[in-house]
Amino acid sequence: MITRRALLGTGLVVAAGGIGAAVAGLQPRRRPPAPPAAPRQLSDALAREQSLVANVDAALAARPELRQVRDDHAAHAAALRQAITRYPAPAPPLVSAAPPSAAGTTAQLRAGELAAARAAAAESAALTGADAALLASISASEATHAELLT
Amino acid sequence: MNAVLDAWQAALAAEHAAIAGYDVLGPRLADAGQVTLARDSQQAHRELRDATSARLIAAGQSPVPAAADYPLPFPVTDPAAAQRFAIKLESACAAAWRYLISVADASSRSVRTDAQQALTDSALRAMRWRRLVTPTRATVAFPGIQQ
Repeated sequence: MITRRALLGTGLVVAAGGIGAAVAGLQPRRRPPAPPAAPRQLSDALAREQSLVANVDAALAARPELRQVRDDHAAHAAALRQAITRYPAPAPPLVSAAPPSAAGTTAQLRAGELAAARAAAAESAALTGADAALLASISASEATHAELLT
Repeated sequence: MNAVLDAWQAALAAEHAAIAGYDVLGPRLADAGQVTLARDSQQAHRELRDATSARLIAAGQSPVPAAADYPLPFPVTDPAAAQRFAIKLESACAAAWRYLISVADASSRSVRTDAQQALTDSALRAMRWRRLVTPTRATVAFPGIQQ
């Protein structure tokens, strides 16, 4: 019986490996790098915008003047969706998105806009480039909503 | 870094233009509330100009000076034109600050924080003017991109 130790002693293992590699004619296989996933900040912001659309929708019948606010949030969601599709891999699962709330009063809607403006600014600060600029702009838009709801 | 400095200087140039623009539009306004809005807006731009100039100097840069003349995009001869001009000025400032955010790298954190605040402030002022011009469409989804 030929033991592994014996083979090592003769250098056959190394030689066999070398022959194997030579036969294959290849470098050791390397896994291709994983495609970059969309930043979590974008998917968190998308979930938040969808929640804001739902909240404003619930209040729209009583306050039709909120239509512009609703349209802005829908545009934010569409832009975030588009930004996410620019990445080859989907965003990681959501962990910090605000859950939908049953906000209905003007004060509640205003508080929601202020919180959204702060969250988008923080998400912008964590990113760079076009994604950072998009979230910065969304944050500014939500600050205007909050003042409109004063 | 040059792209950041260029964008920072461009934001300062937009602030200079806004200060000059309010000098033009202020006298065309008739309503006292709007005159106050114009004065407050111009004062906010002056403060931002001074703060931005100081930060550029602290960063070893020479702040761009105000231009000798600012051609008007359209005749500003009545209150309605003055309001539209104010929206244009604020939108230009918002665009300049937004652009700075788009080119600033992760290490330029304080610059980006200031730019976010300036973008938001211009968006708020633009909204206040837009309420007078198009009350049913006072906000925009993307300040710094849309007028």
